[in-house]
Amino acid sequence: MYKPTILLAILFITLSAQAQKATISGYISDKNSRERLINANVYENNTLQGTTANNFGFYSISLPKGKITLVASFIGYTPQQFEIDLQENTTINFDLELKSDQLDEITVVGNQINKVEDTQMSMIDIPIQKLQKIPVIMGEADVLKVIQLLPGVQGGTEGTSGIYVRGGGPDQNLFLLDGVPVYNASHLLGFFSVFNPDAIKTVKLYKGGFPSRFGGRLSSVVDISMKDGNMQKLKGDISIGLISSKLMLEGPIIKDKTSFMVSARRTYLDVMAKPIIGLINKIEGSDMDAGAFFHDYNMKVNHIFNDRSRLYISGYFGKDKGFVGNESTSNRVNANNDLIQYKYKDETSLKWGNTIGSARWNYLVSPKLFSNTTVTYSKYLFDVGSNFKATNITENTFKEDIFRYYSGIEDITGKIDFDYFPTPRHSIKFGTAYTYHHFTPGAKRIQLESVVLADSSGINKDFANRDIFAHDFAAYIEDDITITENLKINAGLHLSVFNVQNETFIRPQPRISLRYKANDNWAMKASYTRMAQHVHLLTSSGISMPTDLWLPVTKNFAPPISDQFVLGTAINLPLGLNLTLEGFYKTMTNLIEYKEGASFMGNDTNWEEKVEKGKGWSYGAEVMLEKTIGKTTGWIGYTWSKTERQFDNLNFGNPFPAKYDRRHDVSIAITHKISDKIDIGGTWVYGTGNAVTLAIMDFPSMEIPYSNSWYSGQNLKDYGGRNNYRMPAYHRMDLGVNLHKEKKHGTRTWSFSLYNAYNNMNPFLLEWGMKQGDYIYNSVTGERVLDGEPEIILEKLSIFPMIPSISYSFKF
Amino acid sequence: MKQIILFTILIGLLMAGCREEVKFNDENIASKMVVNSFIDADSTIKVSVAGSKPIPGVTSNFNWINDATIKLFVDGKETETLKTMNQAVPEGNDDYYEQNYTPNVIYYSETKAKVGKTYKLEINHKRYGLATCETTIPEPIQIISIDTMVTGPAQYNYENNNLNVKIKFKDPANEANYYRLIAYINQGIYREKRYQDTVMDSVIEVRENYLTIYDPVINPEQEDANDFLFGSPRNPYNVFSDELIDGREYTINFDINIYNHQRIEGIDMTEKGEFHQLKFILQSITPETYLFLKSSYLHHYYDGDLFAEPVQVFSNVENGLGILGGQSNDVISFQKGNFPVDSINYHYGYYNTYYYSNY
Repeated sequence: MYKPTILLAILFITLSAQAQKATISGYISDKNSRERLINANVYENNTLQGTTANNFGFYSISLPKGKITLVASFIGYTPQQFEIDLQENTTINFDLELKSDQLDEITVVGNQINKVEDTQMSMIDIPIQKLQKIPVIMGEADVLKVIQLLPGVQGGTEGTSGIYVRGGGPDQNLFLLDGVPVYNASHLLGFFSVFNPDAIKTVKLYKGGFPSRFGGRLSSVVDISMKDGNMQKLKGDISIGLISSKLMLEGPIIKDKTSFMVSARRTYLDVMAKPIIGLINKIEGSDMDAGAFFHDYNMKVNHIFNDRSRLYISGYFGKDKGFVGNESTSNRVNANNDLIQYKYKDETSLKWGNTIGSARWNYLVSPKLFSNTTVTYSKYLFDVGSNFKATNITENTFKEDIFRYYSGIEDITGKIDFDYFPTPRHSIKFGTAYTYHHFTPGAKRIQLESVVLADSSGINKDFANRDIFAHDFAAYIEDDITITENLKINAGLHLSVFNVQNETFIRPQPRISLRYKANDNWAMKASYTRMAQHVHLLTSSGISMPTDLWLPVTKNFAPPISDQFVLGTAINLPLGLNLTLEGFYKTMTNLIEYKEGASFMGNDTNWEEKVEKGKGWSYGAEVMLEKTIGKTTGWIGYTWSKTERQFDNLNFGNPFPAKYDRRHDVSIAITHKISDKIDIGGTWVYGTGNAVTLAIMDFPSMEIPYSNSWYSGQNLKDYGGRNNYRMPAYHRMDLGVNLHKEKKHGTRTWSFSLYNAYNNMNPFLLEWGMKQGDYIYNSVTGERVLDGEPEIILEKLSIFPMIPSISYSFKF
Repeated sequence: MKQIILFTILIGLLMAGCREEVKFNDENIASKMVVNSFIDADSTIKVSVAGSKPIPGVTSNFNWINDATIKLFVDGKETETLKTMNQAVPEGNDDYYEQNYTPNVIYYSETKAKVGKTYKLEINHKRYGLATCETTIPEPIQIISIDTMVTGPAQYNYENNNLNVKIKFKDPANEANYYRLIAYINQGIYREKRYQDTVMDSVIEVRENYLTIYDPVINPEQEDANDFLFGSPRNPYNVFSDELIDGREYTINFDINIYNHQRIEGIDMTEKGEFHQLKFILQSITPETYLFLKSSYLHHYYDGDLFAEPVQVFSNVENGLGILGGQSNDVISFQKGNFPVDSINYHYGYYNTYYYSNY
């Protein structure tokens, strides 16, 4: 009887309270470029009630009516404040200016998230300017190689840009470029990532505590935003490195209304290889041509219709190509002793790449409701072809074999997301998305043709595995709730519905994060997240291959699920230091792993027969001490972790260490500004050796009856178990220095870096080798003879010694 | 052979890489007893026993075990203790082969293996302790029919004919069966040396081969990108299970290149001593034999492959390594021409080749 009355009373009080408030909303931008500042802070100076700008620089806050002082701040920028008499809903846009003493390159758009204030945990915001200062191999700044330096992330094969997050596999990372999934984030077998740092505005890595808006992968989300383009004036950056060159241009099309950003880069390994190939040709008398290169392009245009409406159109196109060709001639004698001249020409090429596009429309429905409507397209295609032609010059005949194979995945997505700020205590995000997946597991074309004088005959065949289509629906809601000043909760749900080949998989995924703030400088946090993944990647464990193939889940291989618990603390220390300590426990089910002996290299046919289903778990602790402001910035990270897998049909059902299980992992990344003209950077990493499967015993086999196989009767090797052996520990130091000089039209920078500065021979792989005895002279006969028996020894192969590099860039 | 096209860069790096000795952590590594035997139905049982050896260290021979005690159990009942006999070194093999591959003692039984019986070995040795293994000899599966037909000249090789072979058999229903099909071909090809128009000498080249059979059940087509770029393992022992053909009559259909004995119009070259022998053996094999043959081939195939997980060879020896397998056979063979003929000069040594030469 009383219940409706009480509810009405509560509603009335709430509405009355709301009626006494007004909402201020707007955008926070960089004054010079008008780039929107993501996660900038806005707060009322007296009550310290505040909020954070979203991914489009939009904020909204409801405050009591009356005189207020509203402050916007962002690390590296001078705070800006407005004093107003708030009586009604108001729009205030902030244009923050870089601090005058930081108007140079070293300015760090630091870690904008106040880790004590925010409920989000296990997230690291990587400042892009800092990223470009960190020395990396061959001097090529790379987003993913910097992510590898963060605690909880393993790098996999040395030199490549693969990432393994908290015991997850290489397929469990969601790479988003302006909100669009990137399926193959690698160029040149993973030695480069597809993300050109010149075109990037922000990079965020989520390792756990995933907000409900993300879904689709088990272990991490790498959320990358491209630059919007300078609204004020034309800016550019040209750089020339040892193996690639880049160009980036941005500027207004209509000042303060429309801007653009374009970037392009290309490697020239193929050009550099030419002299070497020429030398080989000269020595061997061959006519070979070979090479590999990639080129990629980013573009973005954005247009402001008005304060409530803005459109972004962005795209990425990248392509890799590797090729080998050869021409030769030979003379042969036929059965009639006639001399026949032949000419042979063969060429094999591999091409692969991503094409990505998105159109996003921001619309401010009301000061409290921000919407973002997006249409995206993502395509990954791998295409290999070969052509062999043998021409009988004497008799004017030829035979030609043509082979082509291609596979890929293509997505079209439509989604709408809302940010709703009903009260200062609630920040709600909700939205829905639909993706139409088109998998092309493999299609091939074979053409055999022979022409004998006037006659011709040939075979033309097209084979194709049936394309697979899938419907992927997702919806989410999350609320960042301030319960008390000290206690905040982010709770939400992500629901995914995946339909493929008459199977529907529905996976609700709850997420919750808590933050308890003991004082202004110390907070404790906890989170639980469940993630589901609806695609499997058939991939190399060590190297990103273009043949890596995404395939949808099936009835036999259902969606993998992860459950992750994280407990942690964040402490603000003096001198601008932040300390975070997190412990995590993660379980993963429905994982796939190749059967023993099945090649890791992508193979689409009958893939279900080549993999096993199992589970995995990972637990560990991570410490990160970082400094984001001042002349010296960087971080020190340490991770202790253990990651195992268990598959009923692998390793006799016993658990085994995951390939990139590392007990200890240390990383230090520091940059320091010496003066306006010089800054230096250095990194040092240490990791327990990778787990490898190493043969430990030889044993005799028997001749296989009725066989002339070369393998018959050969000795066999006994492995103690899967990943039974540890490589020696890995450690490396990289150093770099940047020399800047102001020129008439801009700033030129010479960058010198030294990869593996103390030339540590880190293990790439372990192999058994033979060690011969030393040669000595027989005192009686005077002959040079071997002393001692040959010995089998364990050898490590190292492939990256100390590598110096140099690059030049000009920024205007 | 693998076409390592894609790895130009990687191989370049590897070639430029540096090798260095590292200490091998040999904790918990102990030699194991290795027992090897394939039991043929209606034959006595022969077993070799050795010790595995740690890989690092001075190269040494296998420790062939001559003083083990091997007890044979038939259907759970102890039947006899195997005796030993000295093993002769195969003719023509050098010392290395002798030391490494040839046990100097073979253990043998008086008992002849029978179809349907289960044979268990208990091998006891003072150093290695007790190892056991067992297998059941499967029922032979009869070849119902075999059809052969010359379907024309072989592709790319007009000296050969394409012989299509169809072998029909019936798989027993509702039980897991494993097979191995052996296709043996032995051919003699006439060659002559001429000086101007005079035949100076002639010889019959003898080529012997066991064939890899390309049938969807034995070696399904694997022509995909992976196969094209890097090569894929085949199934040279032609082992297969009845997973796809359970309880059905199935015809294995494959082609063989055989020498075209009528290649010169009007002359049947068998009159000059040319011949071919074909033998097809359908083996019904134990699951252990199937797993051993598959895994041992893959073990070698992927050895040293950076991109594949190493393959542990299947073993059914408890507390040891090796294989106790078994099989029963159904054989069909036929021949064209006569071989051997005393007056013919045979030239051996073209083993497993497709040698071509112009005289």
